[in-house]
Amino acid sequence: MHPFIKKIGPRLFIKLHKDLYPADLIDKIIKEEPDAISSIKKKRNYTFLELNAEHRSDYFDFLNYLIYHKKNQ
Amino acid sequence: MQKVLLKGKNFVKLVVDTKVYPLSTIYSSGYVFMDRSYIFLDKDKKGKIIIWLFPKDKKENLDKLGMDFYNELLNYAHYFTSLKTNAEVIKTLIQRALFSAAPSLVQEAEEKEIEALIKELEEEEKKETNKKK
Repeated sequence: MHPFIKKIGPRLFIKLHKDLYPADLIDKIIKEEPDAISSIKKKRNYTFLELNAEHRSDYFDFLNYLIYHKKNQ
Repeated sequence: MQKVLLKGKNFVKLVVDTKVYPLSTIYSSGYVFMDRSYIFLDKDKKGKIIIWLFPKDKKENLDKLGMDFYNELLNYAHYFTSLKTNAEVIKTLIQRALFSAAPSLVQEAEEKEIEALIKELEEEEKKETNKKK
């Protein structure tokens, strides 16, 4: 299992630290790609995103998508 | 001593202190590396940033990937430091360019400067007169 993926039951979530992937970044992603994220959970310092992903590679692409947006913020 | 590179089967992990490399430097370096790898950032209990690099090309040398990333961090750290240092020079150059495009702005700026100088002199004079009294 990759370090950024958290399995909760049968569901897979991307685990993102809120200091590095802040709420405004997640909001921007939701605005731009409303269908990309199916659910969000917050716990302590982390945000857990469940993606509408078919393959594991989609999770990796999403990581870079976040970096792309963060750099341009 | 803490290891600078930690390798896994298909990733390399770097630990970075934000006192040395600020977050803006880390994001910018990550952006440059998007073609070569997938990047994931996390924070450890001490507040240090953990950078995970997953190479897109399975044949990529993990050591080289990690060390290249460190070089990119240094490159951006230098860039941002220079930007800060040269901010005043850049400001002056832009002002000059604007003034040469609109000469009336120079006159306006000079008048304001003279007004401020006169005010300053008047205040000094007042203070001296009060002292004499």
